[in-house]
Amino acid sequence: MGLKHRLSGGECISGFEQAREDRVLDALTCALDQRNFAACYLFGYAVEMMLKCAYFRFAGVEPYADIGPHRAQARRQQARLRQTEHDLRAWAEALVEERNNRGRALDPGLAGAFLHHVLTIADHWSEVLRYHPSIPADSEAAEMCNQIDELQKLYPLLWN
Amino acid sequence: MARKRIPARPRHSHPELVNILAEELRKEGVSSTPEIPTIYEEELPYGAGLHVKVIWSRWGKVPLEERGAIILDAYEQAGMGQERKRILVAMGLTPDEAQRLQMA
Repeated sequence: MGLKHRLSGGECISGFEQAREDRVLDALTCALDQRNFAACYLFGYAVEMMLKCAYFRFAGVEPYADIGPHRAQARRQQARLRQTEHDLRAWAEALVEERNNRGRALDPGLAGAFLHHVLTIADHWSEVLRYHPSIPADSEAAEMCNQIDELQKLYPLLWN
Repeated sequence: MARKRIPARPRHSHPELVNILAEELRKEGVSSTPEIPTIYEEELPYGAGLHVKVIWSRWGKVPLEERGAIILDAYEQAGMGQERKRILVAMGLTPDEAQRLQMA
């Protein structure tokens, strides 16, 4: 049976959270091997999964529920999510807005730091990196690694 | 086993920046030098919230998590409690960061 048929976890929060940890480890392995462009590519997806998990956890989606229908609902509610699935800034802003709409706004200073971290990562990353030959990205990989470390500290606060 | 508990950091340790920023908030007019903070108060399209961005060269050595707390304290100190209550996002950026992240 082919690899894609043996995947487990599925498109659910729990699966995404485990996948996020795996992609961060994969990225760190690449960085240690001086493959920093690949590290950046993987770091970006890890952040994308973190933002989606925070958004859906806050929305009350169960950890093992299929997030497909919830993703469609999020796109209906949040115009900024309709452009692309992979827009980190859009997911971060959507989370901030959703919290405001539900009367559970983040601390404003925390929201500012959160958006700052995400925007810094988004400045380096897009899913289209995969279509380009690798270029030197030592400082970018280091910066993304630091920013992800900070975001991971904030993660529980984003959805609790 | 060595076990160490690291206490939570204070919200910030820069009262001098709060003082300067509060003074600037009390002033009218627009500044354009990096030493003077440029304050953007963006009305958010939903609710009655404000997204405040303070672009200032003095943020350089201040951790991101502390910048927002400094901004909020400055609004309080400047007697702008009403505006403070409307702030939903408080973000401090250096001029370089603002340019790079297209936030200016």
